[in-house]
Amino acid sequence: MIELKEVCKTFGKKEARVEALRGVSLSIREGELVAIMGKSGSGKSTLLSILGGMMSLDSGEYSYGGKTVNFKSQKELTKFRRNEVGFVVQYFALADDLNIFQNVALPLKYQGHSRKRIKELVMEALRELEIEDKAKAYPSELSGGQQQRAAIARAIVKQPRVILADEPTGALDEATGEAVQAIFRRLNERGKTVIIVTHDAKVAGNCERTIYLKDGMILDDGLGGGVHGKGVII
Amino acid sequence: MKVAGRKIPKGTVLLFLSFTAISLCLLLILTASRAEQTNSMSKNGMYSGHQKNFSVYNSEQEGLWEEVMPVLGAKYDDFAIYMPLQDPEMIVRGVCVRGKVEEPPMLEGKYFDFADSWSDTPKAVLGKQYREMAVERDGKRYCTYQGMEFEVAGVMGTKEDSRLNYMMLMDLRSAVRIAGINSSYVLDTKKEADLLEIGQELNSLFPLPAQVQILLEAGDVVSPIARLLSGGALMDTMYVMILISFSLSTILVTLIWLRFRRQIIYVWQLCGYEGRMQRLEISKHFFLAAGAGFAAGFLLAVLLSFILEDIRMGAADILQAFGMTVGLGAVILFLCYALDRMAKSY
Repeated sequence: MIELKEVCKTFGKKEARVEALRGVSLSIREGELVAIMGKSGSGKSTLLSILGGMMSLDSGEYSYGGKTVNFKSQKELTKFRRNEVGFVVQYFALADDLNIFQNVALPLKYQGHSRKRIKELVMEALRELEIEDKAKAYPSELSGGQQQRAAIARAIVKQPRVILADEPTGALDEATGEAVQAIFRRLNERGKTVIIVTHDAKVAGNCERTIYLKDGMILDDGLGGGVHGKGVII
Repeated sequence: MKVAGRKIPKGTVLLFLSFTAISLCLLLILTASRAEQTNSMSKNGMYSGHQKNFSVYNSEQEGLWEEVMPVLGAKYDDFAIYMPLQDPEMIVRGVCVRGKVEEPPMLEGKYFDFADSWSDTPKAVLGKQYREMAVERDGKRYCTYQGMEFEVAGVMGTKEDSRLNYMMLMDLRSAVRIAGINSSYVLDTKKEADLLEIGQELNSLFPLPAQVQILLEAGDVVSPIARLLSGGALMDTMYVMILISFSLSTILVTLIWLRFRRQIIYVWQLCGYEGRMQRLEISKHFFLAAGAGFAAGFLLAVLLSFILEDIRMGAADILQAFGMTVGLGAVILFLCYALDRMAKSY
């Protein structure tokens, strides 16, 4: 379903130049629950941003569902983000001045749905995340766990095939973090492909596959291979 | 901050306050300038203040103006020729106006245009004190002056007592019929510089033996600083300065507002909003705050007008202020959005 070939990404110029990804190749099948692990600065968030079409790549190829993702066309990239992926980030990225219902409804705006349909879809997502009673509350009135549930509801409301989560439990206590992990497992059981970036081994342990990144290269792709970088397999 | 159960971001509150100030300022400036314009028009007897008197002598053709006027009208855009009629009881004047020179405040109907002031049907504009002179017939109003019947095109005047309220204006053709072509006239132009050129043209257009006597001389040279410090100009300069200062503060506030919106822009990106949709959302939120600010500014101006008699807002002032607020808002948003994008790309 997702295939990366020799993907490179660099930030900055001259002395400030940082090679975030160095020839990363990997493939993820539909319905997998994958963790991407690595230390800070290993390139895992950059990899996730590229997988979600939030960031362009410098070289290499990204194919999704057998088709090459065209990073040169902003229109195609936004369409890809709108229809195929749902994002969950560490600090929830909820709009402070919108209530939970309005936050979750954001991805459905400009999609041509009627108000009634939007209400149905949003309430369904909130019900699934068990926060339907918080629809009228503002993010600042909710706990961290509830805010993360709202962010997951926003990610799934448009029914994407892939859910990308960047440190989704990083800002939560252990118990709440486990509850959020359970939500991801449940979504995965329903057929969603879930890719979680984490540096928490416990979170990775709950995933069926773990990809290890180091210095912009894949150390272990979780399929029994070795180090993948610059086309080298050790 | 919550208003009617809705959470309003701090940046939006600042933007609202900024637009309230700018709208109130615009409304007061426009109202004050219009009042000032009307005052000076009334003081100058509807002339601009740089008008020139002239006389026509020895013309044997009463219809000479009908040959001269189309030539003048085709060549120049903004001028007016007035013919004061001698009347001990009221101020009566024949008018031929081309373009915009001095237009009196109209209470009803409309002022003359070039076609009206040179039409076959005698037409008049009455000062509000003579409104009662008009009688209605077949859906139109008519008045009679020196045995001639005029269709009343409109009523002009001001709320306060002014010279404009005691005037009667008629089309120039009718005035020539009453007083004859060999009379005294007044030439007025929008720009003082045009007086000399139009005056010379007028002089050359009257064929002998008819003569036009017009004193044509260049006006006194006034230095730009003296002009800037003269009464009316000083106020205008002050108005412009106030407006510039409010605009600059609105630019600053808009930049702060956009900084506050970065979080939601990121959320929109996560949700797959195209650049066009993002810009649409930004504009929608910005103009909602600006619109609410204008409404608040307008309400404050209405309140002030109850307290201060000098403030008399007209529909034209409100529309003009609204248009200017929207225009200024669009420019500020465009500028700040571009600046914010530039800052983000660094």
